Amino acid sequence: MNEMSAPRILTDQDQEHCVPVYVVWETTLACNLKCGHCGSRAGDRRDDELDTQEAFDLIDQMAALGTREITIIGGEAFLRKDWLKLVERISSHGILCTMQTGAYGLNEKMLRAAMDAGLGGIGVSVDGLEEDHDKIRGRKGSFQACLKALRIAKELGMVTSANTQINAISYQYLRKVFDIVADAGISHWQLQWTVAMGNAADNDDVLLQPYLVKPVMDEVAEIFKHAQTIGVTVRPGNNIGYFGKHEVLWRGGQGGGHYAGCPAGHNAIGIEADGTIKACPSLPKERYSGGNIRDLTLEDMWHNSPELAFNRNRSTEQLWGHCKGCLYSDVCRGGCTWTADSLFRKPGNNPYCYYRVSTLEKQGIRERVQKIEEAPDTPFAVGLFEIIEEQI
Amino acid sequence: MDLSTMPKGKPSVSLPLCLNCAEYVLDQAVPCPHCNHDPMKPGGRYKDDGFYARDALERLLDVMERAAKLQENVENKQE
Repeated sequence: MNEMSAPRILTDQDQEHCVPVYVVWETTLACNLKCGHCGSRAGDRRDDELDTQEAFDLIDQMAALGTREITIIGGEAFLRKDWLKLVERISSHGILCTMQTGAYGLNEKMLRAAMDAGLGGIGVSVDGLEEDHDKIRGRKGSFQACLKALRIAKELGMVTSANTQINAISYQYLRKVFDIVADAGISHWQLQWTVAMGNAADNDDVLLQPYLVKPVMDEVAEIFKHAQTIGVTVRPGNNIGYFGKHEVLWRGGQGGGHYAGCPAGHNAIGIEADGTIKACPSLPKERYSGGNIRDLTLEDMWHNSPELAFNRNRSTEQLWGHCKGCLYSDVCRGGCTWTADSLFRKPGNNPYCYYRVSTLEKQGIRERVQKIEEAPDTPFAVGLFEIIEEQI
Repeated sequence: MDLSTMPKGKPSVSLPLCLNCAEYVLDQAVPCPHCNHDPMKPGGRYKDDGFYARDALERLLDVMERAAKLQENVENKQE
C-alpha cells in the first residue's frame, strides 16, 4: 500500500454508510488514440460535455459526499483544455487525484504542470509488447510514448503505475511486458481482462477465452512473486479473480482482504463527460444511468436512484449459471458487474473466474464464450454472448 | 459529511483462511473443502509458502502499533 492506493481502502463504516469513496470520471470522450478494444469507442468529444463551472460544481458535490479519490480518464483526460484546473479543484478538497492515460502526447511540461496542480499519480495503459500495443492502440509510437511518460513522471516524483489488459494477444507476453514497465520505474502494475464492450465486442477475437484464465493467472502469480522482490506491487483489477489458490497472494491475509464483491454503486461512482452518473464508469448508460448532474444533485441520485444502488444489499438473488451454486456466491456475488453484463446484458454469471475454471476443470469441463449478437455503434455498447461448455 | 444521512449498505463478509492450503473457507470449524485438512491447524502450503510468517508478522506489527498508541496516551496524560 502507498499514498496512491490508501484512500481507496474501504472501512466497515464506508460500506455500512455507502460512502462513494472512489470516483472514476470520464472528463472527455476526445481521444488521440483509436484502440481496437476501447469500450467507450472514444475518439470525438461528446457534444454536450460539462463545462468548467459545471465540472467544478460536480467536484464540490463529490467532496461533500465523502469521496477520497478521483481518477480522471477519457477518452484522454489531458485533451480537455481545463484539465489542470480540474486537477487543482479536486486537490483543493484534499481528494487524491490520479489520471489514467494512454500517454500519447503527454510531455514533461504537462506532467510538471499536472504535478504542480496536485496530480498524485498516473496510470499508463500498456497493452502488450511494442508492435502489438501500437497496433491495438491504432497509433505507431504510442508504446514508446507510454514508457517515456512513465519515466518522466517517475523522475518528477510521481507515483506511477502501468495498466495492462489481458487478452488473446497480450496474455502470452505478460512477463516481458512486466519487465519493460518495471524498468520504466513503476510502483504498481494493474491487470484487467479485456471486456466484451464497444470495440472489443466488435473485435471479439481479442477476448481471452475463459478456459485460459487458470494458466494465465498461474503465470501472473509467478510474476507477482518476482515483482515483490524488486518492490513492485502487482494489483489485480476488479474483474480479475476470484478466490482459488492465488487470492491469498495478491489480495489477502488471515481474516480478510480477499475479493469482497463488486463495489459499483456501493462505494464507487462512474461519471460520463456529459454529466451522466453511473455506479461504474464502464457500465452502459441505457440500463445503468442514475441520472444527469444537470438535472439532479449528486446526493439526490446517490440516495434515490435504483440504478446506483443495486449492489448495496449484497444479495445472491441475481446470480445464475455456475455462479449461483458457487461456494463463494455470498461473498463474490458474481464478481465484476461490467464483465458479466457486457457478455450477457445482465450481471450474476461470470466465466472469467479462477475458482470456477479450476472447479470445472476437475469435472472435465471448460467454457468458452461465443458472440451471438453484435453491439450497436455507440459508446459503451454491448453485444450478446453465450457460454459453450466443452469436454476437456 | 453526516454518515447518519447516508444510504445503508451491507458490509462485505470477511472469510477465514484454511491454515493448511491457504485458500479461503466459509467456516474454520469444519474440514477444508479444498484440502480436507483442519483449517485451524497451520501446515502445508500455508507454512511452506511463507503465509504463516507473513500473518505472524502482521499480527506482531499490529500489537506494536497498539502498544505505541497506548504509550502515547499514557505520556499525554502524564503531561
